[in-house]
Amino acid sequence: MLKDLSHNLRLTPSQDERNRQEFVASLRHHILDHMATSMRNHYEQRVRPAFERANGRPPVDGNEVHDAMQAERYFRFYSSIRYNAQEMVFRSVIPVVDRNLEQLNARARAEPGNFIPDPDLAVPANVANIDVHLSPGSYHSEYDVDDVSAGAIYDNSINVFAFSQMGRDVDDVGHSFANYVRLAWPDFKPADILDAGCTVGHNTLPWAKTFPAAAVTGIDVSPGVVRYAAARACSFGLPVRFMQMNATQLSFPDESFDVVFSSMFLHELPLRDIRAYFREAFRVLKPGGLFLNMELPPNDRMEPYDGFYLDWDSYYNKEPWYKRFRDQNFRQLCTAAGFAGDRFVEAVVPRYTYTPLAEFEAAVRQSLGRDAQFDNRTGRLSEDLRWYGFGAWKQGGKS
Amino acid sequence: MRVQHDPSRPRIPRSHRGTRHRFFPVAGLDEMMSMILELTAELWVVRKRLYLLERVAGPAGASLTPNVEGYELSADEVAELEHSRRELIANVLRSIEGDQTERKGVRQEMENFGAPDTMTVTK
Repeated sequence: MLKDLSHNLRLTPSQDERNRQEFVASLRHHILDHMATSMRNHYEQRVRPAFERANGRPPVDGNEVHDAMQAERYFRFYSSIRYNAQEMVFRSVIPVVDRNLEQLNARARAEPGNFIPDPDLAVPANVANIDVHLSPGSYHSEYDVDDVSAGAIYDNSINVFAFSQMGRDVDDVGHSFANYVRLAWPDFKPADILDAGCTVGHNTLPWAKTFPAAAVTGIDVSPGVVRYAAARACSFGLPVRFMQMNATQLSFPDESFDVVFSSMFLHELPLRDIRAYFREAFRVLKPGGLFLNMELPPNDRMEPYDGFYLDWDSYYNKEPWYKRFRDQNFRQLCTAAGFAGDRFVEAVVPRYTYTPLAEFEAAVRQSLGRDAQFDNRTGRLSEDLRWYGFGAWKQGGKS
Repeated sequence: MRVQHDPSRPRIPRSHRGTRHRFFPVAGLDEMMSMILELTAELWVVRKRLYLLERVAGPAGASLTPNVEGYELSADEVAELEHSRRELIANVLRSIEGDQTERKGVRQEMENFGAPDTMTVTK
């Protein structure tokens, strides 16, 4: 069953609104579980054999699988239903936000938390010019003074979208990687932590919980989501600072942070912005600091079908830079920004808040010092989901 | 940017910008899919409300609406509804599952409509 959000900015939908959201969550579960399995069976049983007969070899990458699948009846239905479900996520949430907008903004004003705006900051084109994820108004639109509706739409939508598979407060990614760092490198005690492209701070707050002595900062370009993030953190009683800032042009001095983290952020950026952000991350990291990004896995290290499956969003979910990012060599992205190649780190981990601690600890131990191993669970939203993260240690210091 | 509010209209748009993607070479089928899915959502909303009404009616008598809004489901009832909801989804979408014979026939018919140019994407 779909759970209500647990903080003071949660909305109170009517029974019918709640049930519509519940339906959309179940529909997405059906698509990404049952239909995704059926679609793979169609591919294995008919599409791939037909491709091999025609070409004398199997498809070599996701593009070839995509081309071969496009005429498939099942792929059309899968895509159409998934596309509609994505639209229905927002249609099930926005009327509730719209109806409660004044009350929501009043609550955020009453307990605003630590929010530092930048009214002069331009919202970049990759957010402003496209309704990312098919989200009406994208992630930056404002409809009232000091409006938090962009944050409320995102928070409530992702709760429906994730059908309870991304954590109690859609925060499992943050818990998984903060605890990965805690368990993998027990002598590393970060004092200053930055979460770049943090949206409403889902995955920022777990860093404050895991490293309570650290000063934690989240930044994002959208005023509405960062304003919401600060009020949300305040509701949880966590002293996290949220700032309206562009990750490609950080205003922090050199060597300010021990950890620079991001989650599901890079694949929304044009490649030039990814490169700029990596350079900025290197600059603001202290020597011995850790750069870490939770992301979708790279295409060149996955089976062609798995690459095709994950890239669906790039073509059909208004995330046009998603595939280009996944086509990169992540180690090279790090070294181009100044990180040493031998300081590259990566891991595939189970979900921390769904996994017994001993099992999670074993996964951490197994990941250390070796290349990540990918399969069709990596990055695929399901009950068997595995997260992928990569980054690098900055040279110097004790690490 | 602040948008001026017209009280007679929703402030926040319900639809995304840009043309909707089309997945089928058959005119109208994309729209039909949307209708079916929205219809199914509405059917679920009605079924859930009816379920709650039935539960509330027993102990509470005639004044049902406020009780429906505040009714707390037990764990067993949640599980029962979850099962029912998943069955509803599977049933409505069963026409595209079918057996191999049926699939083959329909696929051939689909292919006879010609090249799937509506699926062409810009990479």
